[in-house]
Amino acid sequence: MTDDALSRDLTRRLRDVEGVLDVFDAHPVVEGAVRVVAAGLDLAGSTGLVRVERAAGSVSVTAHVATDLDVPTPATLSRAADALREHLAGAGFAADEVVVTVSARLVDAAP
Amino acid sequence: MSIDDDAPLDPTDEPTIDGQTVERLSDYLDSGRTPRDPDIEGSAACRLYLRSLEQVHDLSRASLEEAARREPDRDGAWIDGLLASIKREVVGGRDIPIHHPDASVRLSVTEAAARGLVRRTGDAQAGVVLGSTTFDGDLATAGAPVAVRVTAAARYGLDLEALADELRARIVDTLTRHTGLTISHVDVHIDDVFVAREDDR
Repeated sequence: MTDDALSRDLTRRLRDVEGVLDVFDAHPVVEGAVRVVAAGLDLAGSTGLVRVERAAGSVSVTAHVATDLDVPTPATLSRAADALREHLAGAGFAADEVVVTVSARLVDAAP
Repeated sequence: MSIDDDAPLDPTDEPTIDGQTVERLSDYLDSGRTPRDPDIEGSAACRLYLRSLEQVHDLSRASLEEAARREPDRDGAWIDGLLASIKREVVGGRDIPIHHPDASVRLSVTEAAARGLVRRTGDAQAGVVLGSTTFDGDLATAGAPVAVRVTAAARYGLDLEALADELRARIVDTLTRHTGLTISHVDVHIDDVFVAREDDR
């Protein structure tokens, strides 16, 4: 599985987590812009918003989210991290190879 | 995410929030946020700015319009100052770590999101329009004591001591719930008073 495909899957997974209202692009600004253009060219669907970085023997994923004002944000972030780790385990990554970073960029009322 | 507070030398070089001018964001809000602009809606900073701007519009329009009618120069400057404060506050800032027992999991809330929570909390209190929010302390160390300083305008005639006490309690409650910060104290500085109209809250 490519990093882009993994990123898309992780983005979808995050959107289903209770208390997560939205997912923001966690890629650096320039990289994010290039990815949007590239995705438009190959019509492969939306780009993933979760940043996936691999190094020897490890994978690091970073997600930026909006959380629901009615749910304590620490609990939402913890659930989001669990969901990402669970998905990565299902994709064959060992738990000790994975680093998960989740940041709340906005706490908002659910629409 | 970027912001530039320097005065523009050229109109095309206007300060932006994640690439969006404040004029564009204001127009977008006025249009009811339709058609949906994915560049704006995909930016946490723009969303924070829109929400704050919306709160200013919704919660205090009547009072501010009344004040601006009475003293247009003074209150125009006050509103400009408020919008400038909002613009400064929506950038990411420091990360506030959230404890997690697994060392391979790193959770955080951005300082901008926390300031947004404080603004939302203040503006939700009747008779208050929040001005600015500052956190003093080591935000990056979980459990370190942090002081919160806010400025606000209060509706004329209210008991300012009671208003400040309520605002302090609300701010501590929301920050504890959503960031886990250890709040040492909250300084509330009422720096302006507005006169409510009958249709204002």
